[in-house]
Amino acid sequence: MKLQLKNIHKAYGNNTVIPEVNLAINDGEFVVFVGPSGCGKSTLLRMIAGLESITSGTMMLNNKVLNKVHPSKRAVAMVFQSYALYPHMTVAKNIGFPLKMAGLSKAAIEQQVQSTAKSLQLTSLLKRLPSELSGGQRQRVAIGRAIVRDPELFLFDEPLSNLDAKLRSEMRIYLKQLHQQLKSTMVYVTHDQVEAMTLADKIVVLNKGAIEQVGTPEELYNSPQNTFVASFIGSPVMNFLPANIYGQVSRQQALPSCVHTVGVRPNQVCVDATNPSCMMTIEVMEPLGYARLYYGQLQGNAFIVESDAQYGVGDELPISLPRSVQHWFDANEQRISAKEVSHAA
Amino acid sequence: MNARVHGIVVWCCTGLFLLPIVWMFGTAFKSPNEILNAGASLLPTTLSFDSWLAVWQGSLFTLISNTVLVSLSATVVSVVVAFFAAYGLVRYRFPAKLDYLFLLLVLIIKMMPPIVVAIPLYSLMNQLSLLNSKAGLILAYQVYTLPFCIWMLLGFIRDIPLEIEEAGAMDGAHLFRRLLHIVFPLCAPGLVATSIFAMILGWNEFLFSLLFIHSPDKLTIPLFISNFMTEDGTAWGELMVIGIISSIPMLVLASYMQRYLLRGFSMGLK
Repeated sequence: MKLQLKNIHKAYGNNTVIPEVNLAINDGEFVVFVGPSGCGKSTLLRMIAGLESITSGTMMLNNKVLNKVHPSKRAVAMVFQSYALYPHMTVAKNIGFPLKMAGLSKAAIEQQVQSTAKSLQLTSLLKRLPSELSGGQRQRVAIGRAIVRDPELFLFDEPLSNLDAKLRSEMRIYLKQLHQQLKSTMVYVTHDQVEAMTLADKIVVLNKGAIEQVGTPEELYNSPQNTFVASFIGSPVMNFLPANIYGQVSRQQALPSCVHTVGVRPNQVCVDATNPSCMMTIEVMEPLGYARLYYGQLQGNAFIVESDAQYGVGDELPISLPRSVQHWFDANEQRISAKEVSHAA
Repeated sequence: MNARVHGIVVWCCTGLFLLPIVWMFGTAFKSPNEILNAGASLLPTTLSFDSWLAVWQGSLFTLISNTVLVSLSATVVSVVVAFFAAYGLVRYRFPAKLDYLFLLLVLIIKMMPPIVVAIPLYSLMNQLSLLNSKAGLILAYQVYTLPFCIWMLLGFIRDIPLEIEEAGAMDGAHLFRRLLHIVFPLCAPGLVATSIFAMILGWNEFLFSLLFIHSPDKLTIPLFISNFMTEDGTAWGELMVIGIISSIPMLVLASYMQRYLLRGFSMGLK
């Protein structure tokens, strides 16, 4: 086990930010902390970095307790949201700074800086100041500064949030390749579920300082443990219908009594003109190119359908909600598995 | 038309500011007789170096070296202490808003007329046997310079993003190395600007020098200037010469450091 968080609790005075977190991260894993703003994901990352103290609990890296270890002694590298490059230093000096602090000779620093810059395609920029670089180049320098010291753990705090959509997409692929190449353990914080889904080996969904679910992107997408995870993972967000409304709009077999809410992802709604189970009046239509997003209401509940079928605003959209794509949740908003239903029956 | 009016206004303002300086230069090169007889004429009718010679034959070198030593030392002490104080106030949390209280007290001291603290300071210096010493004067100047330096450097240090320092910590730099490699270079324009202002304050200080220094070999320039105004009259020529001599170092320093000074202004006032 690479990194272990045991009963980690964080409070500022009487204000609890993280009630209790238990998490294990394996060697070489790319773990993404995802959640809405203020959910405590950055605080958790900063505690791993040593930039925030731990109120109680134990944090271990390779079986060594980290709680009181200064950030500079943790063998952990971090890429900040704002890049945090040293504005008075050239790219070469920025990348070489951790090595200088480690007491390496000038020749060794030069050699490692050149090698890192080459791998990040920064060789031609080594003499420039950060202010003379584009956002993507600055990001690569920040990554270079992190990888040059060969840390045991990489931390990324929303590193792509300052980039435009195209560059963000390119950097996502770049980070994925970097992880495949370095095979290092990486912890990445984002509020963007697309980044989380595309980058992660394992996603940790956080809400109000607590872990809602940990799993692979597929597990979270296909089997969300509660309505929060179901609504947070996937774009557009999952549709939720109260069980009684579902009964009114659908002509299918009645739901088990324990089902309180039915969730269906917009791209899994079946647009079926021959045998629809219900009709939705289209209020807004968004063309995506490969498909369209139709927004409407089912008995007063907002509903989204993603389909390549051609309908316009005001049209009645014939839809079906097959059992196979439904997610059932109980009154506590927790997932009800088919096994639980059959057991209850 | 607008440009012409603008030009006239600029020249008028410049002339207004330059007038005392021209008068100072003019008087410095007048003979003592012409100073007494020529009324308010700006420029001398004949060039005279009598006043320059009179000042030169005095203890000019000692005066300048005393003033440089005292004001430079006071500046170094102030800037170093203020740098650490401002850093601590910006970066660390204090219980019960003690940091704000401290800053308020510092501001109050700065706003108080110096004469208010002069008497207790005199008593303190006397007890510490620092009266009539340059070391005592350097310490006394902190009353002027330290509050000013702390307040000025606060703005510069606040402008350094915390993330940059955190990145330094993650890169293996302890506090001292972060200060040395990150905070200090980023604050350099602010430190230069603050130093110049502190130096000017120390260079022009008069009251504490008057109260705490008695020996002629320890006089500073502002105190020496007052010697030219006696009950028998004012030696205007010598007064103007010493005025010119005391102004030049600060003008040269400020011009040389103008680049930093301007950057310092813009940073500190954010």
